[in-house]
Amino acid sequence: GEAKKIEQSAKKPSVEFLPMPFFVVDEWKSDVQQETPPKQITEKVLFIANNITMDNFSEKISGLVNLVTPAYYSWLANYLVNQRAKTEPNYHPLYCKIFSAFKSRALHECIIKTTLRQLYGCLAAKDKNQIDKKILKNLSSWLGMVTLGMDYPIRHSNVSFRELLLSAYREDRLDIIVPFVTKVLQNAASSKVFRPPNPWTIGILQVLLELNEKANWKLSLTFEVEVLFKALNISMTSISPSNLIDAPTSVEELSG
Amino acid sequence: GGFANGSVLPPMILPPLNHMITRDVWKDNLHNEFVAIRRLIKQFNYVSVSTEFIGTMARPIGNFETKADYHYQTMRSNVDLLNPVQMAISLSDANGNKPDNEPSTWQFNFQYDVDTEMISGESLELLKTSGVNLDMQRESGVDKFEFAQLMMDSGLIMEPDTTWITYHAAYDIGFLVHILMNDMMPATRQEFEQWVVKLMPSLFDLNLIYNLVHDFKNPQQPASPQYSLNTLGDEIGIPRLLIFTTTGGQALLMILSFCYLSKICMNKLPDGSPFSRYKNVIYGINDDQPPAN
Repeated sequence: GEAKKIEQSAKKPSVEFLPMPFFVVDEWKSDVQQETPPKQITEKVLFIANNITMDNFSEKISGLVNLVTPAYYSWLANYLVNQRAKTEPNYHPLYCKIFSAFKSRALHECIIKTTLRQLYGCLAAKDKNQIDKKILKNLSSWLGMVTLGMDYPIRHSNVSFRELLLSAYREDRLDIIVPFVTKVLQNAASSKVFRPPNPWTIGILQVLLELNEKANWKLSLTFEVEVLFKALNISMTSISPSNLIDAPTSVEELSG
Repeated sequence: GGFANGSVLPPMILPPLNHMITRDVWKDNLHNEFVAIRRLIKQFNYVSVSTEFIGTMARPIGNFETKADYHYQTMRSNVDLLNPVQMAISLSDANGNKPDNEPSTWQFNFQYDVDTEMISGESLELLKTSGVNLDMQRESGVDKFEFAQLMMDSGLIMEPDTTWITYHAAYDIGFLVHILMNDMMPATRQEFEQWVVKLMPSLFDLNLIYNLVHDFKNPQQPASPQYSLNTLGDEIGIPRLLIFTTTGGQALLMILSFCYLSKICMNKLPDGSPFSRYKNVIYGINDDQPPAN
């Protein structure tokens, strides 16, 4: 335990973070004091989590739900997000189904906050070489699935997407921010509310289109935007680009 | 006569004047005001909504299964056809408390050009005399699409912890849903109801609650369609101040009345049933078959 932790932290290079005014992670507040479950419970939970599938879901899930009381929500969210969803995108629907089975808004909030905190570590790293693009994409898709995909809004006070894109343009961070935005938004396709013509979604698409026209970015980012439009089943010419990036105060105006 | 004469209800004590200030919103201060709305909604999570539009212009033709279907189709065709002139919201907490040192009522003045809108001469005259500044509405009005974007992630929409208050909600909610959908209105009232539940999962129509309270107090004299937000205000002793006559003022009057009623009645209706029984029930649209909560 302890020795391994020290070894891990010694291996990790120290990461310097940039300020992120448009990506804010607020604390998850719980009415229940959070604890780490005792070993016999974690072992049982991990055993079920390792064996549960979409096919045997209904027989296995109640065992898991009974083991994880509200005091362990933070622990469960941490496990699902950081140990599983972060590296296993193919199983995102399964992990989504697992926490949904608790029918707890508190746990859902905790999952979202945990995901945002992890994403912050990716998005804000000053040295772009330290960012694992694969993990960034996995966590971004996951965030979209547990929010937009479940008709759950991403509040402006956490992530202001248009401002985030415009400031990334100025700070030369589009190669990090655009994959984040497109992967999150792809999940709007499965939401009755968020899929186009939802105004919030369209508003972000307009900024992406403007950047695609004017930012002179690399082809891989154009590809990201094309994949997004395809996933949302709309043509890139059906929406007019915004007209924000040339105005020096557009970020300040949008964010008030 | 209502329950005030009865008189089980103590008279309403008006809030201090600084709680009753309405902020006019034009395109220049739209984003700024939303900064305040996003911050305040965390504490003041009751929000009332009122809309100003020129009145019904269209009547649907055809056969309708129920009166409620006809009501919905009438509302739907007018909402699809017309643009709202103003929409106002007012925030408070469950007890009617409002922030002390800043406005908590906003009147959004939408981009509205009388030269291009479908509008009758009569409605135009009414608009002109109602204090709406038609030049400002044309030149400096808020873009509804931008308004919708800011609403979507503000903390007001799709949040079960935000309670929406309406009065005779059909048109107010109809326009709001239409703006947020950015699409044609749903074809049936059942689909509309699904949208309402998604977008405003906790919503009350004060008109229904008023009628229920009224009918209980006055079984011989059922609530008449003439009853309005203003007569409710009269019954609970809110003076008819000039500030209540604007769209923003109507939203303010609505939230003051609701919070007063819910506080006085301890969230219970006279027959003992909780207010929550009327969650997501909209007057004239689905009050025949309320959604299951």
